[in-house]
Amino acid sequence: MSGRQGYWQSVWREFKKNRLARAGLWVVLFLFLIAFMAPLIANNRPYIYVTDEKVFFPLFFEYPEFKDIDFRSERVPGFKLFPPVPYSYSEYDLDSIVSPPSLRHLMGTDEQGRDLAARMIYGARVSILVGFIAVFMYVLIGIIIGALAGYYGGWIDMLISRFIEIVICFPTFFLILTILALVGPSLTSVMVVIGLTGWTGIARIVRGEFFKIREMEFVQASRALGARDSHIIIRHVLPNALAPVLVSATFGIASTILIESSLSFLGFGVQPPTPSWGDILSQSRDFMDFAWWLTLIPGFAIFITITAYNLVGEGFQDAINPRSFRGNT
Amino acid sequence: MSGNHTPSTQAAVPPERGKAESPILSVRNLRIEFESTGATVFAVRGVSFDLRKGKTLGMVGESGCGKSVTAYSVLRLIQPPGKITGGEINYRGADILRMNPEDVRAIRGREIAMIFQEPMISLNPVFTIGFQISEAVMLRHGKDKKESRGIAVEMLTRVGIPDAEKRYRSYPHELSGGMRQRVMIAIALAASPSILIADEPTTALDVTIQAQILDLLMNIQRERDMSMLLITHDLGIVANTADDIAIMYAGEIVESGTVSQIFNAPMHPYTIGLFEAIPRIGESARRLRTIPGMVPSLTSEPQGCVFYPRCFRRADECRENPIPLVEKNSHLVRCVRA
Ligand SMILES: Nc1ncnc2c1ncn2[C@@H]1O[C@H](COP(=O)(O)OP(=O)(O)O)[C@@H](O)[C@H]1O
Ligand SMILES: [Mg+2]
Repeated sequence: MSGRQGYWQSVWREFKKNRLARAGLWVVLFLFLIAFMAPLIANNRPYIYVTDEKVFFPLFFEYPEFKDIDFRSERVPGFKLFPPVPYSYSEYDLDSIVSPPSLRHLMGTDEQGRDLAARMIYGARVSILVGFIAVFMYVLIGIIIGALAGYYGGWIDMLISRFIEIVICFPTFFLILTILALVGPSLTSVMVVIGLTGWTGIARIVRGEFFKIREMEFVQASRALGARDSHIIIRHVLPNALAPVLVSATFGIASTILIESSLSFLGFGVQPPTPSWGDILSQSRDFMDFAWWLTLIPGFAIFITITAYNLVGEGFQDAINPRSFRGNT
Repeated sequence: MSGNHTPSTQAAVPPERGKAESPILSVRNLRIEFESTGATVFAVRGVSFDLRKGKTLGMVGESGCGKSVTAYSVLRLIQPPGKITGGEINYRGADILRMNPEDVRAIRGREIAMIFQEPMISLNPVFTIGFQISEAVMLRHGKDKKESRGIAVEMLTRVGIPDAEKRYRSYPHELSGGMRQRVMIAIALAASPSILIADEPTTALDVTIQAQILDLLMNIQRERDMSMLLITHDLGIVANTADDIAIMYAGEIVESGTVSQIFNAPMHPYTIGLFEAIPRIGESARRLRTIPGMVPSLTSEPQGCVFYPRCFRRADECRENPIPLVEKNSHLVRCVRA
């Protein structure tokens, strides 16, 4: 009876009580920040460059006079303020190939002398991009298909359910691998293929929720008030089906990132020079016995990311269930 | 079968009422079936009743008798696997069962509104109650947001919600059951319907709250000259609120008449059983008398009286033929031994 808070606000309150979920969310936010700011964190051009009483911002603007200049060189005089990782993800430092973490290369370098820290930071972009865009695609598809089946039932549902069963029968990973082999591997095709194949779980959830919700009295009540089908679906059924979709989507992001990593590991994913954690891991195979950082760092990043998303997903799940109107509050 | 009564399976209306003002809603021979894994449940079999203008008809029967599905069918709200398989529902000269869906939709809420048993789940948990009332107002009157907000607050005040301006922004889970039912009433009345169907509106509430809600319904009904179909399993509730009563058992009307006729001279053994089940002051709930046995779910057309297995007055003749609803002592009853 007290206070005024929305359904989502109370879900959020429950969520915040869960320490692991909160930690997971921080990790996810941190990864977002890194991915979003990647060019500001890893870059071979300085934020500020002062020479001859003039101030330049090479990282933010292009200056014709500095074209092809390496600001890090001793031969470029003046004051320079570099990002924490003063390397781009694709440049070769031929002086230090497969060198362990040091002050110069915080996470070491790979077999081509590329800075691992820079590659990890840009790799975060790929994993977030793939995770979110592919999952967004399949959530949308899943909602539409599941809603059609769940709201109309009958033969429409029959048809859709059979179709879902057929799609589920394909081993997803190999299906994706086959399609990628046909259309050619790239970041876009990875996203599209995962987006087009991953919707079955969401569709099933939405279908089930619709079956449950459309029998609920507030849907009947709305119908009794003369509301149209479209109004009922959008206003009453969907908002109530959204919570479990959100949970599943969060877990979905985790597994999509894992799929992307695996695909890139196998060479079917993101193509060089775009760095992906799976790709970095794959390159490290030849040096595994001595270049521990090349295996451990991307492996750990993947592990942490997946775990973080899963913790967030579980947190949402727990937050939604006790508060649910389905139980007695 | 005693021969001095004319069998009437058609109209379940006492003659003296049929002659008076024509009813606002008149249901004839309604049949509802549920198809479930091979078997067909005959949930409602030939139900007829009249709702008089500005009056309340109390429909009483135990859980599972078919009251809700009867009520839903008035607005054609029966969902598959349920199906209306026969009958007429006449409202203002038109048969609702034969209207096109758009016309039925226009009647819903505007002409005939409905409130449900569970106020806990009759409101959408993700929206404020104000939003839901305004939505109902907008849906029906096409008014703009600001105007409908004004009407919504007015309605909330009318149904006795204190501090309506503030409550407007509350979510359903922040309100008690009684308050939620008031909100449901406000929503149902938003479009000034001429008929309100209330399906067990107080069953989920505490006794004291029950009385308040019934009072509210009665006051609004009088104020607006609205007709009401009040469904309940508790005969005690209709004593003070209803004008007419229809007793329902296993998909049939077994007795119907005015409140005084039913209360002064109940004839059907089932009605008598319901009277004995009314909780009396000083009697603990544990000692409450109930009718032994259960309401059957009929998967075939019954041979004789459906109440036979539970009846204290049963005899062999009850099992022979379908029992018609006939007039005895000036009201209708479906019992050969009454
Ligand atoms: N969704 C359904 N599926 C199958 N049968 C149903 C369904 N709803 C109602 N019925 C049948 O209709 C009968 C009457 O139900 P209902 O109208 O809800 O009873 P009441 O409101 O009097 O408690 C039930 O006993 C059941 O046999
Ligand atoms: Mg009921």
